[in-house]
Amino acid sequence: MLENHGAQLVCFSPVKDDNLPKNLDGIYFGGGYPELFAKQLSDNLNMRRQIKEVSSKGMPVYGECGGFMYLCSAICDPKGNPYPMTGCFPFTANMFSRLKSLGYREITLAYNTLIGKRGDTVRGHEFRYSDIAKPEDQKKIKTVYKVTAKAKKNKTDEGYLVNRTLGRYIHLHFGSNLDTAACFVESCRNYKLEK
Amino acid sequence: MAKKEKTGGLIKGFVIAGTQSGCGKTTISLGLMAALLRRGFKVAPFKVGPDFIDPGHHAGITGMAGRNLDGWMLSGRYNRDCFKKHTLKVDIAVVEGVMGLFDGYDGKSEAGSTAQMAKWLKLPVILVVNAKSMARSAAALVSGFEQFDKDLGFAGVVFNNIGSKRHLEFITEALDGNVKMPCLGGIPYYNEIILPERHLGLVTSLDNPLSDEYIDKLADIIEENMDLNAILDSLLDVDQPEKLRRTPVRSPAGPVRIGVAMDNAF
Repeated sequence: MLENHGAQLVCFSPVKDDNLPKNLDGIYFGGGYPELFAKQLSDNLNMRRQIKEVSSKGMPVYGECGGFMYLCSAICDPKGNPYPMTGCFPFTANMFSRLKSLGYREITLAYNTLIGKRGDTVRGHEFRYSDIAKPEDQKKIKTVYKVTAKAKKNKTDEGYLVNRTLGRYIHLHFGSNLDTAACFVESCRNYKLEK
Repeated sequence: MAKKEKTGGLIKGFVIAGTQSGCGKTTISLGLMAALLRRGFKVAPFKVGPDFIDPGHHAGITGMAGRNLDGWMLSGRYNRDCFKKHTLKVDIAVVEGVMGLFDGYDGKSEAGSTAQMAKWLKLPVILVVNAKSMARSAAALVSGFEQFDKDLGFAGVVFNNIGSKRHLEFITEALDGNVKMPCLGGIPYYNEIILPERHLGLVTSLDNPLSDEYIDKLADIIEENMDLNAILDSLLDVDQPEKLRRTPVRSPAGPVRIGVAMDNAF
């Protein structure tokens, strides 16, 4: 879908590669099992530093679920052992042995952001054994969308944004709103032109 | 029926749906894929709902990634495009449903259900019924599923966990005259083919690939206990006349390079 909007996708491995691919205009992290490779991810200091650096420079970076956890400052296993991650977000992602969240979700964007305009809705799904610690500084981090879960009328503020790095546990399906992929590629194109 | 020559643009397809989760839908879907493949068909697997474990097993058998379809997250048009895109070069599509046939986002609508997807894709449903601890009553269950949505088409019903030949006879006698859909077979209970429990969501095809012996065994079970010829003969060709939309965007700024994390962790 990103390719249909003019993106060239460059795969890389945060576990094995020493460096980010050259000349990137954006990064996409899908879900996965970073907790199973926490030590390798943590030991790859060079990759961690480079991702934090491009994030600080304002490169559009999108991460969901496992990808979001990698963008946090650390992943803590169920025993409480922390593994430092990239630190784009100042949260610790804790792993639990019990399911924390499961089900369909719909988000409504509260601002114009890298995946859409204010008021746009995107649908997705959540399935995770992890949750972020709720430190005081979480309140200082901007949230860019509201989430509606099935059977719950109340909407929660989620979708953390630091610079142009956006993340949360929900897996968004870019096919549920065809503008999402277009907007993400456009955000990357704008970054390319300004950098 | 032996392998049919592909006539271009025409494929056959069906949806495997259960009366509920855990009735043997995945095992029977995998067995059907394996049996069709062994007969020389090129099979495109699909899965309704946000599941990545079953599609991984589909890929392990067919060599093609099991594509996710979803009636709640994605529009009818998007699902039909996805189905079309991944069936262009195959003979038959096997769509594994999610939960029970009519289960979806909520109790009020069909959104997200297997039934909705079957209608969107114009495919008939093979209903899987867990017949354990049930005899004549199974016919009442099938009758209810048959009548619940008049717009839905059925290719037939298959009973799982059959205890004996007589057990299946009881059920087929009860079906006779009471339901329209044909009985396609009854699968005996085999404890050696139960897939590992997946409630932790971690027993993926990468962590636990299906062995060739296991896949062969599944195909044998289907061939021995289901009337595959009758299924294939009853399926109509799914015509897909619409052209796919494809409008790649070109920008004077040149291509945008997006890094995608892709390894064992992601």
